[in-house]
Order: sequence, then structure tokens, then C-alpha cells
Amino acid sequence: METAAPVLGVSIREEPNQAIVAGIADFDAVVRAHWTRVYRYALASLRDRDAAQTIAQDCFVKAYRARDRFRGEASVHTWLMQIAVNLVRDHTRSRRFQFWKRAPAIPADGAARNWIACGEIDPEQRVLVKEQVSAMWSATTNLPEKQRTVFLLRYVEEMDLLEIVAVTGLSEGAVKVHLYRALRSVRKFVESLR
Amino acid sequence: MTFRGVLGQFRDAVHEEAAQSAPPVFSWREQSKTRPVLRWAVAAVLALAIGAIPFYENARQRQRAAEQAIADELLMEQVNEGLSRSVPLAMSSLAGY
Repeated sequence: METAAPVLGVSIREEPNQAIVAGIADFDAVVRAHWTRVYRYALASLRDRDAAQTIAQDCFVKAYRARDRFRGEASVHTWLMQIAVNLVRDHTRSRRFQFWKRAPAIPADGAARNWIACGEIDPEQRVLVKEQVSAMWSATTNLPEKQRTVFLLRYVEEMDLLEIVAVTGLSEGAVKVHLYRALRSVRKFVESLR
Repeated sequence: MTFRGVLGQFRDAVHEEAAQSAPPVFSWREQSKTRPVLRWAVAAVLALAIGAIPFYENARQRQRAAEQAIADELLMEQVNEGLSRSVPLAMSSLAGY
């Protein structure tokens, strides 16, 4: 009896992961559950509340349109973060070519700078920490695109290496190299202010 | 504070800032429907504009040909007039023209 041989050039589609795919059936719940993380990544990358809001919105619209093609190869969070990373990248690139449209940059970290976790520290120390947090954000936004993405996914989104690999599509080695370079640049910048 | 400490403060600050944002009251479902319609409209207008180019070129060519024909006719009239003259132009006043 003959068995069906695989045909070259035709990829056999894997069965969708029903459990994960079912998770996006209620899309309103998906938006509620993942909005903050997507927005947070965009905000950390762009340091601009309006742009981050637009990116987050576009991310969910894009995901909604593509939901029929989502086969659950990755978690919903990874899938949404892949879209967000691409949108932030496109936004940054288009902004680079539209520099004449840009209004003077208003840092989005006004509230963040005033929010310091440990309330026990003395006022002098507090001012220093505020400055360092602001400097870190500046250093982060000035990093090259891939370094910034990897850095923020690791240290703001607290993703592990494999998750970052899944979101960015980079190899493990590349992620490590970008992370190392990003850390070195940010550390150098922050320590230069001390 | 150590670098690791600053890194932690930075993370907490970004988390705190982002926590203030709530999903907008926004009909993203409608948005996802209207955008393709807009895209189709733009594509249709572009297709019409591109499709109209040959007609426009054709009309311009016909207009140019008509203008050329009038100019040729005028030239021929002038030539014929010059040929049918019995005396040179300089002597036309003497010949009573």
C-alpha cells in the first residue's frame, strides 16, 4: 500500500493549538488582559504617551484582523508583542524620515520620574535616583533599534531569553550580543552622570 | 545606588507610568472594517487615474494633429498665394494690387 509522500515545496500546515487559539475568541478580554503590557513596551520604547497609545491601538486592530490566521504557535502575549515590536520599529523608522513634523520632544516620564519605589530613601538620594532613572530612559531611547528592543523586553517586560527570541525572531546568540552591548552603553551613560 | 538598583527603579517607574493607561473606549472592530474600505477606495481612484492616462494622451494627440492640420493649411494657402502672384510682392503696388 502506498503512503503519501511529502511534496517538495509544499509545507504541511501544523494543526492549530486549539487551547491557545480559543484564548482569543473573546477579543475584548484579550485587549483588557494585554493592553497594559503592549502599551508599556511602546511607551518605554518611544517615551511618548500619544504615540504609545496609537501603537497599542494599532497592535490590537492588526491582531484582530489577523486572528483567523493565528494558529497558536506562540502564546497570545508573544504574538501581540511580535506585532508591537514591528509597529514600534516602523514608527521609529518613519519618524526618522519625518523629523520636520516633530514637535519639540516632551518626555513622557513626568510621572515616572516622580514615582520612586522606596519611600524610605532621603530626599537627596531621591533626587539622584530620579535623575538616574531619567538618564536611563534617555540612554535607552538612544540605543540602536535592536539593542533597545532586546533591552526593554528583558529589563522592563522581564522576558526570558527564549521569549525574546520568539518575539524578535533573532537568534539566541544575537539576542545575547545585543543585550550585552545595550547594557554596556546604558551603564556607561548612567555612570557618567555620577 | 547600584546599577542593578537603578535598573529596577527604571522598570518600576515605567510600569507605574503605563499602569495609568487604560484601553481606550474605541471601536477597534469598526476601525478594522473601515480601513480596508478606505484602502479599496484609494486603490479604485488610483486605478481610474492610471486607466485614464491613455485616453488623455490620445485626446492630446488628436488635438495636436488638428492644430498641425490647420497650421499646414494656412502655410499651403500662403504658398499658393505666393505662387499665384503674377508680379513680385515688391512691385505689387505698381501693378495695382
